[in-house]
This record gives sequence, C-alpha cells and structure tokens, in this order.
Amino acid sequence: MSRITFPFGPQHPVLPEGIQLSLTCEDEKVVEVRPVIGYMHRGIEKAAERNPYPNNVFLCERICGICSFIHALSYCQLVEELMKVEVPPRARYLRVVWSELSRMHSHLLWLGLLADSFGFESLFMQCWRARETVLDILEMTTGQRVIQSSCIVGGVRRDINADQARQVREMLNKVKTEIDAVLPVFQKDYTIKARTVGKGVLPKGQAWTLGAVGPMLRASGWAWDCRSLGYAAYGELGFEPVVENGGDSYARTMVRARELVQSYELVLRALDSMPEGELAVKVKGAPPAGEAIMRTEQPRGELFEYARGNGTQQLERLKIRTPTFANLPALLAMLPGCEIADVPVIVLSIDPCIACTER
Amino acid sequence: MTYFMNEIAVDKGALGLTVQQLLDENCRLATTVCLDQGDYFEVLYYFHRDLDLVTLRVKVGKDEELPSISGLHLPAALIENEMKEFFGINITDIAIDFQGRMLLTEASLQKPMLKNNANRMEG
Repeated sequence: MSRITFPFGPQHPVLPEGIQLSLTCEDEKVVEVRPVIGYMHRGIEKAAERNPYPNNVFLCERICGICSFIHALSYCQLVEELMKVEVPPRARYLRVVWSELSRMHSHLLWLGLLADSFGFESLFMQCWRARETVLDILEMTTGQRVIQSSCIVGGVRRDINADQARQVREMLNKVKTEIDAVLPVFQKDYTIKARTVGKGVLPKGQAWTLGAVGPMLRASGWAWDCRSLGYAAYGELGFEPVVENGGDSYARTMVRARELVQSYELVLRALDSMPEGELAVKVKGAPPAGEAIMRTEQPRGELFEYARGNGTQQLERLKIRTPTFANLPALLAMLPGCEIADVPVIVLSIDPCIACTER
Repeated sequence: MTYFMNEIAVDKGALGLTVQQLLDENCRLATTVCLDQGDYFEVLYYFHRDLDLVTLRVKVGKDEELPSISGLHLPAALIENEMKEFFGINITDIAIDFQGRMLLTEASLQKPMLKNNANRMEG
C-alpha cells in the first residue's frame, strides 16, 4: 500500500495556534506522526533571568492568555518557596477563586472549540456565551479579562469585597444554569458521541508511562491532580480529582465537563469560607542562593517550575515545563491507527496550548 | 505543600541503570532542568513517583557526551532536544532527534541559555 506524508497545520481550523503534525498515512489511516514545533517560541526562560524577580510575574502570566493567572500564581508560589515567604490566608483563598475562574473559562472555551470542530455552531456559541460571564467576573474582580495581574510575590494585589462576592455568586449561578443546559448535550448527543467515543484511546498504563498530565491522565483512570497537594487553599477546601475511565476523547470531554461544575463549587466554597485579613506580606531582599520547585494544576494539567536563586534580584535559572509539553508524547501515541477524519478531534481532545509549550 | 522529594546524585555512566530502576518502580519523567555551572553542566531529572518526586542530579563536562534516556523512556526525547538546543549539551542517541531545530531556527541566537552567551535581546 502506498504511503503519503502531508502536514496537518500549522494553520488549521481546529488549531488556534501554530503547530504542525507531519502525518504519514496509508489510505485514510494514520501510521506515523512527527511533531514540528517552534512557531511560537519567545525565549521566556532566558528573559526571566534578566528581570528583577518581582517583574517576572508579568512575564510569566503572558506565557499563555488562557491560563495566565495560574502561570502567575505558580511563579509567585515558586519564589515564595525559595524565599520562605508565608502568604496570608485570605490571599490563598483569593488565589483559589481566580484559579478556578480561569479553569472555568478555559474549559468553556475548549468545549466550544470541540463543538465547533464538528460543526455544532449553536453549541459552540452557548459555551462561549457562558464563558463571557466568567470573563466578566474576572474583569469585575481584577480589572482585567485575560491578563489579570492580581497575583504578586507575597499575596494578591486586589480583594473581593462583600458586595462583589454577592455579585460573583449571582453571576456564577447564571453561568451554572447555562452549563446545566449544555452539558447534557455533550453527554448524550448522538453526533458528539459518534465523533468522540473510542477516538484517540489512551489506555491507563500508557497514559502514565507516556507522561500525560491533567484531564488527559484523569480521563484514563488516574486520580492524579496537583491540587491534591493542597497548595494555596485547596488543602482546606476538600478537593477530590475528577476521574473517568474510558481513556478516549469522550472521557476527556467528560472530565472537563465535570471539572467545570467542580470549579464552580470550589469558587463558591472559597468565597464562603474566606477568612478576613491581609492581602499580602511585604517581601524584602533577594531570593537566596538555593533551589525551589513548584507544581500547580493548570486547566491542561501539571505545571512544573524550577527556580535557582543566587542572592541577587535576578534568578539564575527559571525552568517552566507546561502541561501540553508533557502531553505531546501521548498525542503522538494516540494518532497512529486512527482515520484522517478523526485527527482534528483527537488533537483538540488534548486541549493543546502551543504558546505554553514553546514559551 | 505535602509531598515527599528524594534526591540522588548519579554518575553519568550509571544514569541509564538508575533510570531503568526508577521506571521499574513505576516512576516516570516529569521534566529535566539543565544548569550552566561554568565549566560543566548540571542536569536534574525529576521523576514522578505518584505525586511524590525523585530527583537525579548528574554532572557533565562541557566537552563530554551525555547518553539520552529516551531509548528507555520516550517522553524524555522532547526535553532532551530542548536542552541540547538551548545549552549545546551533547546528548547522544535521542530517539527523536530534531538536530537542534525543535524550537530555534537558523536565524535564532544559538545555545541561548549558556551564561556567557551574548544577549542579542538587549539590542
């Protein structure tokens, strides 16, 4: 049988960002895949070595526009770990609120893109309409819709007062009503199931050995989520990972759908139990000589950061390993054997973020 | 944060054996970190052991070779390519070798993460 190799991307309707997969096919079946990346590399790790350490918060939150808050949070927690800074309890709860709102808008964005990928335009619009309200909440509480700049080393820059908290609850209830309307469609619709059930199967053992993280890993039966480590206020909010066992694109959709509801509940719980107090502690001096690592859960999975200080205002090294970087080997294993027509949905099912991957 | 972290200093000749032992214990690579320490590189391999971490710390002379672990553990290939590209560390036998063109182009500043590398970003 003759083989043909052709590029999937870097420009493709399901790819919001540039990445190319070189697909080798026999008839309609994919037999080999090779990633071609490098379209979006910005040298962020190098740039971070040149800034005074507090300024890197602004750099890190620009790694990606979707999970910008958690990038900032990870970096702040990393430096706080290095400098042994204790963050006030109220700031830790506010960090959970904004992290989970970020996860909600990321998952709603992804669910909309998934619907769009197989031409379900009305569902796409419903998901993105709900997402708009989440962005409105972020704008109301931080002043910004995308790059919030509300996290600083030592705490947070802004508070959510009682009146705002009441408005957040009202707006979130509106979002919940919209979520409740769309989730059954993702769960039960014949077309969606036809396009996702059994597509891009990642068995449980392979998911672990290939380094998958986030919803990719949890959809293959692993209760593995960095929020279980209890960072920020997660340890006090009773967090349990969402797990599905199918290992296919449908299971990954269901993990994100259920996490949407979980994030909604976490935001409400954090608002209800948020203690009064300071928003930040003043951090003086420079990061000492030494190393620290930080792991947080982005919407796409584990974000792993490493920092090395040398007693100056600049970090000697900042390493950032993003979730999509970790999920690429699993994607390359899922594609061989599938039909060409299923490639877009399988690629989308990992929720790829190329800006994060290449930094 | 509550998790356990174990660190092991490893000679580069024993790296493959140690990695295989960790894989046999159901560990997997989380990421690696390369550090330019002047006349040598220090490479940290972080492995997940469930939610805990195991770290291998390997020192490599700048003119020495470091064997790839991607033959044992394929997910290491991408991060090894990145280290090779950013630092010029001579990692041999990477399972998928991008030949220094995974993230950088011919027009990019080469080995940009080396400490003594000129920073064209200033211009």
